[in-house]
Amino acid sequence: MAKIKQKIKWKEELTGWAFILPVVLGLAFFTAIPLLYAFISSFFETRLKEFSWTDWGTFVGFKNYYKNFTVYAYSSTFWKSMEVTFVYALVSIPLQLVLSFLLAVFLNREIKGIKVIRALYYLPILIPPVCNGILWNQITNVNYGVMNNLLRAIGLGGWQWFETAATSLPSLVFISFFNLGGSMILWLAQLKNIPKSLYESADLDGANKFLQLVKITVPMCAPMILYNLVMSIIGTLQTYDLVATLVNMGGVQDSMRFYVLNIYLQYKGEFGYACALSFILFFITAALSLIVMRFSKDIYYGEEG
Amino acid sequence: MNEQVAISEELPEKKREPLAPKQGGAQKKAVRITKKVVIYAALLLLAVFFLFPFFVMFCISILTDAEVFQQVLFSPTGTIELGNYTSIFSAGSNYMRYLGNTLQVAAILTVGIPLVSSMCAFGFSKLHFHGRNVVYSIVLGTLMIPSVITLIPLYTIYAKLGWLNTLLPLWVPSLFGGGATNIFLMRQFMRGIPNDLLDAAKIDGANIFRIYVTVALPLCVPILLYVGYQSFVGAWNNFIGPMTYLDSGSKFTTLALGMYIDFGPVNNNAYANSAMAAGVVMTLPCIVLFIFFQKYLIEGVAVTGLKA
Amino acid sequence: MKSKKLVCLGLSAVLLASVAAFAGCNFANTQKPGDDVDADDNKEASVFLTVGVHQNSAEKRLMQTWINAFQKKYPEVSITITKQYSAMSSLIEYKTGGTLPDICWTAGDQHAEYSDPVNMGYFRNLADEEKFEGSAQFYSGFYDELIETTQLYQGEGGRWFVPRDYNRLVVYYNKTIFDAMDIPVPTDDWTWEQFNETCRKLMTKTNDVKCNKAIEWRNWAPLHYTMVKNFGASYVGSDGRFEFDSAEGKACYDWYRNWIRSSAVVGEGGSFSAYSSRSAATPAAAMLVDTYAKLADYAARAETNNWELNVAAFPNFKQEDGSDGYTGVGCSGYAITTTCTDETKLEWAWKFLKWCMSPEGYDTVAEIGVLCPALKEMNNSGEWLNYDVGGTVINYNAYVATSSNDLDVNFQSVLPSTTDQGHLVSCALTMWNNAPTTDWNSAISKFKSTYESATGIK
Repeated sequence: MAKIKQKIKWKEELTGWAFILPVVLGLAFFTAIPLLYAFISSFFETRLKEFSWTDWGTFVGFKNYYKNFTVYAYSSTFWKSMEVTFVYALVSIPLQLVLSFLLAVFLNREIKGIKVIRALYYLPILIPPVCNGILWNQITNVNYGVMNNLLRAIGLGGWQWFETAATSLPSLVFISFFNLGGSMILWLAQLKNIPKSLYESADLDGANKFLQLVKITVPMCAPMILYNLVMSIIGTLQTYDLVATLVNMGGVQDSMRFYVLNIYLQYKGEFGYACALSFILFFITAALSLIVMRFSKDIYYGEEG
Repeated sequence: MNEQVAISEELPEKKREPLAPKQGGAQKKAVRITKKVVIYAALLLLAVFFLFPFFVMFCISILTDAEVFQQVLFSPTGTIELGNYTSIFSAGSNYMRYLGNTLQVAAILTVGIPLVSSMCAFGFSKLHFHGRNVVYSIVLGTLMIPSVITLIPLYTIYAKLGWLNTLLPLWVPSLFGGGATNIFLMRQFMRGIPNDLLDAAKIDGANIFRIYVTVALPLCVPILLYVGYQSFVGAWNNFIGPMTYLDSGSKFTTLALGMYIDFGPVNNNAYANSAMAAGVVMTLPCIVLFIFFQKYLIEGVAVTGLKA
Repeated sequence: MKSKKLVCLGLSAVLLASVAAFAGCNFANTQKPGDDVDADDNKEASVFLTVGVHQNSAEKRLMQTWINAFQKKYPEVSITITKQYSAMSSLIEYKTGGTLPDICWTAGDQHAEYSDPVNMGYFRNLADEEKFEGSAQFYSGFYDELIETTQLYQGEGGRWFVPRDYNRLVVYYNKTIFDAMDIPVPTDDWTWEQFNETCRKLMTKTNDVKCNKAIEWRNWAPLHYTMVKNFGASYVGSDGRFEFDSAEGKACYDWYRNWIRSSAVVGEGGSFSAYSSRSAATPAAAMLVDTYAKLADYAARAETNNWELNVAAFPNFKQEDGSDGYTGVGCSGYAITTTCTDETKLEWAWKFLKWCMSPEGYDTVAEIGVLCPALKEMNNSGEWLNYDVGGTVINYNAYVATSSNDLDVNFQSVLPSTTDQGHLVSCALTMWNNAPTTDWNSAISKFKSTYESATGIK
């Protein structure tokens, strides 16, 4: 009797593993090995070359990591890229969250055609990031792009867009406003979960719309806010597509030299250094993700267990 | 109640006054109408804002070469230049080659990823084996890993394997599991499938794989469609992958990389109108697909992590 | 539902309306010119060579024309263009993937790191008479500054690539604007003072025309170095020590900063070539500094937008001691890579390059109009002078003028280490890129710290 039970258990184990075999193999070959290779390479000074288990280059220990603090030539680009990336993330993300939230609140009403409107506002997300970048690159050209002409036609003057360092990031933030539709849809789904009865009782108590917003809507959505915030920051830390197509090589005075762009500019000549840079990014992303998981456990895992 | 009705039948005019004075009614109606007008006006304004990129893209794509430098949206001479579009579809253009390559990758991924990720999710949700939770947490843990960290070492591995300058690096890794996000989504969905259905099929004597195919998969159609759509869009828009693994000018260049080489900031000779025409053609399929899949998209978003 | 029907009706109405509106417009269907020259295949070839070219349709056309003509002469050779790249760093990728072509295009001022056997070692030293027959005699036909460029560092004596074009800085100008404002056009022997005077006149309103900026200035290492040399400064001394923080350096930097903000717009030629009748009253820029390579592009733009293009030599910045000023001369060329190991292939690759860079070779590609030949003897002869820029007569003498001294723009070659050379070039470029918004003290300290920390030369 016990032997048959064991046999059945064996079979279950095997089928279970058989089902998840693709992901296990994928993890091993396409994630674990490259990670390991990158980690080990980051301790060597080596140029880009074929993968090999034996030929690593010259061993330099932690030099690739602390080069970012000691050698001026590297620290200037490193800190610049950190500054650009974090400033962009910390400014544009909260702004986008708030604006998309307000937009969702505004669109959360049952009037004729609201479904079409919601779909229309979502459309700009569908433009491939490459096309988006090229589009804005062409029209914000100070010398022969249409944007400045249009701005003058409305009455606002010409704007420097990506020509000067000070206006590059604000222009990028402006361009990202067109993607508010995405977060708006997420908020709309959240808002639907708030029971109407809460609003009705607030109406009876005489609260006006603004008070309702602050006292009911925001607290009900609060758990998602932190989650969205950190996930968006993690996503923004990896911006590459849009920026690569918008400006050439990091823009004027490296004002658009995002972190991933920096890695891409360095990896051919100094492979070890680029690996070290990507590991630093990994640590930052991991730290932020752990913060998310700690504070929004109930959301993330739901009915885990 | 009945008494009130009786009274109203006798004195109809008198009933109205205490309940709603006439003047107040008209005022309230006016306020309601202006409110509606204001709301619609605001919605319209916002719609203009959000549709602005499409509008500009389309307008510039039909300008002639000379007019592109005059910084206008509409042609002053009223000419509509179709040459920008026809040269995209003409025989010698690169665009058709890019399109072919992209469609190859997209087709493989759109079919492959939902199947693989649903298979793995089935394993994680419905099957029991040692180490299941550990492996699942590791899979979720990979969400924390930025893609750039594996991209560059993978380049060296592919160089060794000889996969550079082919389409292989673009779809093979994705077929191994389909990505942590997709597995997560599918698993969440599958948890909602009642175990009784599976047990019933088991009693009927079917083996696990048949149960998966005949019982679980058909129930997952909405989420499968969602994942399939996301995979297609991901393959269509993928830029960093081709940029790293394909040389410019390679015959396997995909759309995103092709757009970048032909019209991106590295190319000083790019004319805005050809760039916009190519952009319009590249964006249209995404919009069409969205309109078809809208229903599943909104549902899928609701599943994404906001389950009650 | 009713609302859906209304929306559908509304959309169809909009569609019909727009179709009606467009009905009043004329439809044009101008086909964009096809880029490529078709490759002829040599069916019975026994030697196969691969070439990598700069990412540019003109470059591809150029190389393909050469290949077709060469293959016609020698049917036993088949040459294919396998790679196109916009940046030299792509060569590293090709080498990693094992696909580095036999012959590679290289920019004259960026070849050192790739040639140096100690560094990347991708290119071969063509001064080797054994492997590359007739090398010394072949090279003696080029302009001296170009030969200097092919070395790893000053005095090394190697020849690491074959120079292809003599790219002297020139000033393109829009004759239509000059005529409209009654300003005398530039001449090949004009001085720096006359140049400044012309700029001042261009930015003063005359006959209702006022240029926004007088000239479009390129953010380009050769151009920066030309001005550095003209001001009598230098980046580093012969021992590699940082030297730019001198009085002459400051004078150059301050001048440049002021120049960029007042009289020049920095760009890639876009402002200059965007001139059209609409902007006739306030042109973005009336002049442009560039080289022969872009002549065809600007001529095409001038033709489309209906203005007259011409060119003059770079102004002569006469030195204090009365000697002539300097005008930067650069080049690009083709190197034979270490991928090409087979002796027969090496022989043929060398033969191919020698043929391309000969009067016969240059004449074959003259009609594409992107090369000013690197051979001294073609100074004032050859088909390139007959290049028809859409019917305009161009002052070809500007490209080979002798009014000022030629200057080899590889300033970094004073450093023996090619890695250090790379650092110097990037530091200098960063400084000039940021010049408009950075004052002298912060710029010079940044340049100095970055250079010294990267190279270790204090």
